Amino acid sequence: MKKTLILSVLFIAVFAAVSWGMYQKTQKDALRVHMENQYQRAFHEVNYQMDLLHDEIGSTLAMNAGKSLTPALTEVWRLTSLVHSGIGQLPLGLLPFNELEGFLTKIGDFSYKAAVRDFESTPLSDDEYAKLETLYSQAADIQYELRSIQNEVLTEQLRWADLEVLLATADEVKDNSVIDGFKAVDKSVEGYTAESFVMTEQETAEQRRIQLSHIEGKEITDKEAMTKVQDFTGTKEGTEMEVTESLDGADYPFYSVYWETEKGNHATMDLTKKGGYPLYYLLSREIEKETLSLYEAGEKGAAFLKEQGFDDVVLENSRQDDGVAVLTFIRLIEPQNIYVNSDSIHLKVALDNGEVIGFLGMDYLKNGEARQIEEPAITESEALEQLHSNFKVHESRLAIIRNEMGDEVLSHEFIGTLGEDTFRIFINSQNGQEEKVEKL
Amino acid sequence: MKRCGLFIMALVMVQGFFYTNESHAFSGQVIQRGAFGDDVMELQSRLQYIGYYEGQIDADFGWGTYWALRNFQQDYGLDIDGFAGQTTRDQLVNVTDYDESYVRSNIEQGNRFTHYGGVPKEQQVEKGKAVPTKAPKYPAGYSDNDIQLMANAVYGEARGEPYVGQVAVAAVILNRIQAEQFPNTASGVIFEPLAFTAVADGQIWLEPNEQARRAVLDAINGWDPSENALYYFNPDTATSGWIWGRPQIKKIGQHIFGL
Repeated sequence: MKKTLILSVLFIAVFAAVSWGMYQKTQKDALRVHMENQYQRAFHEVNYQMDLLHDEIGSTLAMNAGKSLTPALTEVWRLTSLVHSGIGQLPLGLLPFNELEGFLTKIGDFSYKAAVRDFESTPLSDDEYAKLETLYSQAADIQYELRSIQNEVLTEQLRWADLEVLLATADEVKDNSVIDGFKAVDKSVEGYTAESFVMTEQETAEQRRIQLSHIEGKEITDKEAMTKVQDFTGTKEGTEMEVTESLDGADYPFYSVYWETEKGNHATMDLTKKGGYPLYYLLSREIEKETLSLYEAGEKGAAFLKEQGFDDVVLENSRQDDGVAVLTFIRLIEPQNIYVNSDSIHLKVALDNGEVIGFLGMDYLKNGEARQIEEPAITESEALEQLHSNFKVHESRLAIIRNEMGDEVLSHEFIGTLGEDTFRIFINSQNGQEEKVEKL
Repeated sequence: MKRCGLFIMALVMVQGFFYTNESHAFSGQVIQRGAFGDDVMELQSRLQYIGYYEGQIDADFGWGTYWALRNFQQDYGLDIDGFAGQTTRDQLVNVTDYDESYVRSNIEQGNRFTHYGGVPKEQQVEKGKAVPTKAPKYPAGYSDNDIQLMANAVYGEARGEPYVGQVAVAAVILNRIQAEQFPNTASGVIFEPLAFTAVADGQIWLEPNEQARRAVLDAINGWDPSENALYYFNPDTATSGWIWGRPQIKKIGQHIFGL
């Protein structure tokens, strides 16, 4: 009797465990199928859009008239962005498919810049036509490779979910047809990109700026770096500091300095090796009760910058956020009174005691190359005529900005309102073109 | 009759006394665009009292308040600088009235309300209808939700790291959005399959703390302790051999940052 009871309890327990396990497995399988379907959809869509992209580039080649070229190129631009975002949804993660994605961005940029242009006055040049032709054959190559991956995925019933697991766990994936296929795509693009998209003048200039190649001064030692940090942040002499040098892959050599303040807060500052220019400074601490207004913080910040030798900047913008004033200063070129929005310095000032707890000088340093200042060819009132009649101008000044093409242009800047919203509009001071419109 | 007149005079005097008492609520600081707090709340209320400010009274000194203040300064013959300094504030206090408890209680209760002079207060309140507070203006047009999402990613990925290490992780996300070989949105970069371990194992859905949010804000404001990095990895746990071959920039905490 007792035995039967124990046996039946055992039986029920085993039955319950098995059915629970079955249930869990069904659930898990359903989830896996669902996820797999998402991946499959993204992948097949990429294929389909790549086909369209190839065809669309083909039709732009066949077109001659400016009017139909613009919508066709816009379509190319739209498709590249779709393919790009589709690839981003596939579990390819850390594998280096940079070439393919970079290639898509470059086609996109090229077609966009060409599309927004007025073809009546400046038709496609022979160079650009040749570029389109190579793009066309390149797109065909990519399409072919993708098609063969797709074929393999379909016939062999390969699953992206398995691939994801493989990629996440294995050190190196060998002999996987999907991975090999994508590597082949990437290879076919490689080299081609560099050849066909020679960097424009603006891009090389931007590259130079990023590498800070124009800054001057002698190399400082780590001791000198510490002294500079002390001067800049008002840290007591003798505070223990840890200085590390940048590694080989950095765009520019720099020192990173870490230390703990007297109150035990962490602070960091990076300086360039060459010349010891401050790149950024951050002090992380709790903010106590606010005693200063944003206005006073602005004055404190301005005084701090003047003391540190940044004497050509003025306060442009300020914002109060959780006890901290975030201040933006920009360069003012005198005596012409030209504001340079790109040459900015950001400061964080604590509103409890007015201490500077953050400094960011990268943009100021990066754009610090000497400039040729030209005279505006059109006057402010002439520029005003270019604006929409509903736009009510409240403030105006001269400003140097970087336009969409990456060129610096001297512009008339107008701040005003259109209905409830405030906008900032820049009119090129040489040709009266509307360079940029920003909603503030 | 005479008694009645006296009574009215007394009433007016008492009222005047109360008004002047209320009028000196401004803290005495110069108020400028970008500021936030009680002074701004009073400034907006007073400007609305005489019809200059038509927006929501939200204690946030944005462009709408700025133009209202400048129009006021222009009409009253003051310097048109958009700063609420002593003279501007005095003038404003002279010509307007401010019911602080009314404004404050309505903000606290989340009502949609206005503060126009000469209109009965009961007619100016719609209970529980407040417009959701506008996202504070972040640079480069990021919304509150983008910041929330990035704070989640930063917290999931680097909550044990020093503060600059967290700012650096946020900066890597932003650098990827800019870089051509990555998706172009915050969500695209964060949810790229296999890009972040915290996304893969669900740690991204932990509730981020205030520090992670501050780190994201610093990164959005431009701070980049990673110095332009696009990748980072923990050398002790990294499984991919490929990542070791990338150019390295610097090490912060447990993470090596690279291109």
